[in-house]
Amino acid sequence: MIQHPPDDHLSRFVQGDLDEAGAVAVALHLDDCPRCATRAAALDPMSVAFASCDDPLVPDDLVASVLDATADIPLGVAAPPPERPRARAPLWELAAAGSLLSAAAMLFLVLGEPTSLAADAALAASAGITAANLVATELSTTWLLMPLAALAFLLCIAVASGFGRRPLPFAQRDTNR
Amino acid sequence: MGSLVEPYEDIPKEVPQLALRLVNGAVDEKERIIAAREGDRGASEWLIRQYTPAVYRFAYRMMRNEQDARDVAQDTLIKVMKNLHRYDVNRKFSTWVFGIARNTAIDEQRKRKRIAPAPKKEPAWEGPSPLDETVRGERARRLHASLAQLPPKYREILVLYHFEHLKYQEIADTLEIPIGTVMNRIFRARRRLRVLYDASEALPA
Repeated sequence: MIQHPPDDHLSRFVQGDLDEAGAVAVALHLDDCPRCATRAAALDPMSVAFASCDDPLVPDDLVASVLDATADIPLGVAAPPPERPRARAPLWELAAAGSLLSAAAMLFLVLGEPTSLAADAALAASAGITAANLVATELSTTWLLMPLAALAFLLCIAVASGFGRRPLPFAQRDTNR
Repeated sequence: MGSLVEPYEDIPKEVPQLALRLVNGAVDEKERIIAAREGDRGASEWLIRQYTPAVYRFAYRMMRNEQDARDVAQDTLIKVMKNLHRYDVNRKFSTWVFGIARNTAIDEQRKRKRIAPAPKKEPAWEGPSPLDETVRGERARRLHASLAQLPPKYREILVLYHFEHLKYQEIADTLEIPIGTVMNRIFRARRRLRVLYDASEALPA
């Protein structure tokens, strides 16, 4: 806290002739010293003009209308935080890759002549990929991939049940039982 | 504060204890704010009645238009009530409210892209009538006309200091700028106002 500034110091303050540090020091003093604040106001040539201004009249119905407008605001309730979007950006890529892999597995099973081991592996991989793909598309915002993944999954089941291809070794093993 | 609680017998028991102290007028502003945050309608009404006139006067001086000032005052108090739970009780409430009012006024000005020119006759303004206009009234007219020509950042700081009587530190808190910036801005604002005010002396009313 500085001591009460002399008139010439206050006058320089009012005129804006003090450096920033000096002005801040005087300002903080004036904040806490009504006597010096009154002295500073007396030195300000514009203070007379400011003192000439009366307050604008507040409309009679304003408070009532504000009370009316705020009546429905729930007090003591924090507004719910905005819903944060889930980090889904990479999922559409996973869904697209899964769809492609499923389609490739389908082609391999339907058109190729796989050995029993390769067919079992491809079928298992295809089923796994399509299941993961379905989950990925479910979580993804790219809903257009969902029908594609579902179609791939149905094809998997169809191929596994022997539709559209020659009997596979594991099917023969089943018939031998 | 516990000794201030003297519940009236004829008031139902479900009325919160703090409401009783509000009735007695024995609660300071901070307690009313806390009570309002806890859902006390009496406390929130008190805050609205207390601050609406001050916010309206500030808005009127910024907007120079009664309807705009009404809108700003109402929007400000709605925001205050909606965000009361965010108010930091360690901060002065009036600076928080004026900060919201100032931002609301800026938004309104941007929205409307206009500030009404200072009216020649100001029926909503207390003061001498045109017929018996005194030197004081003439000074006030010139000052309002000069303020209206200032950029908003200069006008708001002068309004907060000279009309709302905020301290320098409170202005810094309200505008969320360092106090050194407040001082620089207020000195520049005063210089520009002085030039405009002196120039207006030569102009006819």
